Amino acid sequence: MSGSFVENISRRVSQLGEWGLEQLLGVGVFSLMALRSLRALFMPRFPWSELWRQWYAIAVQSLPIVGVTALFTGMVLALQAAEALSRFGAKPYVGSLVSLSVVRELGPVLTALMVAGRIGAGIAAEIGSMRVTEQVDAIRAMGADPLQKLVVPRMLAATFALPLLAIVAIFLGILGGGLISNYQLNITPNFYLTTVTTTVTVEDLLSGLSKTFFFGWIIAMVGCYAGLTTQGGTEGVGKSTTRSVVVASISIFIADFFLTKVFLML
Amino acid sequence: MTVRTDENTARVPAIELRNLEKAFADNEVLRGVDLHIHSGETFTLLGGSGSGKSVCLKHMVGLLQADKGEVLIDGKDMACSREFEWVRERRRFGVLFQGSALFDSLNVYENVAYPLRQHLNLSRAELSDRVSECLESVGLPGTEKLMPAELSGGMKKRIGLARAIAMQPEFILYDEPTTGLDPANQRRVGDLIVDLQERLHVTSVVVTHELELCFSISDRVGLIKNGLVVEEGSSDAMRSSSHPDVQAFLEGRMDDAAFENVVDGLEVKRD
Repeated sequence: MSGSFVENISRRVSQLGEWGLEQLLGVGVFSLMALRSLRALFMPRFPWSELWRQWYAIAVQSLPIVGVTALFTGMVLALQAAEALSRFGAKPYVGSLVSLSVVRELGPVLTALMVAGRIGAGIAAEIGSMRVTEQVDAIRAMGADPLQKLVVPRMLAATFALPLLAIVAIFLGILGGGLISNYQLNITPNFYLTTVTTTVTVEDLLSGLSKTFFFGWIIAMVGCYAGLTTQGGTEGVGKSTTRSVVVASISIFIADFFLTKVFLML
Repeated sequence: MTVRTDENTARVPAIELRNLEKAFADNEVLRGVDLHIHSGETFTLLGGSGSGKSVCLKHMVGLLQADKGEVLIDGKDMACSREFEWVRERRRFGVLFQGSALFDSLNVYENVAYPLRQHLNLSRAELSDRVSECLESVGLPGTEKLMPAELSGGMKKRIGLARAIAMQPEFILYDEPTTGLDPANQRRVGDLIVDLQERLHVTSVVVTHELELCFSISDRVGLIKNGLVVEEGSSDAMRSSSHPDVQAFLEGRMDDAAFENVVDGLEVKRD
């Protein structure tokens, strides 16, 4: 009885250890991929057409979902802010609350989450199916580097598209708040705009936007990693896709906390 | 145990595998493969599903790294070479993958031009000429604008072959070139392999389980079973070989051990 209990415990511990080692190995492989991708940035025969294709997919085609998300977030934020602020008799200052939340936090993070769902999953699925159909092997067999041809364009496109998308999100979020203020809360557009411009500073904007470079990089790299490590045929592609969205979203939240902490210290 | 029946053992083989071992997790796929491929010949590696023949092929271009053993290209051991050393060597190889492995996002022209853009600095006109030339070689001129999704299985194989010969390689490796094709396309691909061999004087390595293809194209043949090359020799010698495994494979018999392996495999999968 006690023997089987001890056996049971020791089996669990060794399973936990194996799992831990696997995760650690994953972190190691991810870091290696990230470092080699940086080196691959400077290799000759840069894949310009692939970069353009990725830029179009990430920056241009994500605009609608990012825009709609931001507009409605701004609108609901205005409703909630009005409700909360009216308890202190500060209802006219909806603009301050909406703009500060959207600029510092919601614009960048919601944009990143939407792009992680749309683009991160797409990257993992595309590279994953390339991997299981031997297209990644074909790139290597032709003497090219999959990191340069596949990872670098996605990394660059996502890293530089996210800040632009976040600017659009911030603009539309504040606009959404303004629409609700005007039509529901009887705050004039002029007053709303004044509360926005007197509240938001350049530092707020920079702190919000600078995070998005990191978010973009995380989305692309997690997607590429999930894709390149896909195993087990079509079923594996599905698993990689899910994994990339989950890991990227969680990483964005964790990174957001630490980046905010760092920017507040600066 | 390898039995050699060829006469050319004095020459340095163009590709040689020595005691090659490879395992994926607990699954030992190659268990000491010895193989010689001579310059200018068409060599076919025969074997059933899961015998390790495709894994062998991937070691020849460094797509997989061996656990143990040597991979000699023109007598130079590449088994422990790093990726950048292989990159130089791979210019000499053209590979036709099992599923053709055409890039889905690129049209036929861009697919065939891919290795040329990677290695050479050709003008637009030169590039276009080379691509049309390759497409003509495989009997598909004028298909430049098509996307891979618009091609049939047989056409994909031939475009894949056009891409493989674009760099005018010294070696062409074929991974199951006729699997999944209808008989007409099978014959067409077989004829293409012979035709390219005659025109380009390349060294070809073909991995397949199809006997008809094997004996219609090969100078020499090797049989791989359970991760070991059990017999290697000229096409005729193989046909008349008295080796029990060769006899069994040629007659389409699966021996008990192999059958048990398959059943074991199924049970493992079911768990």
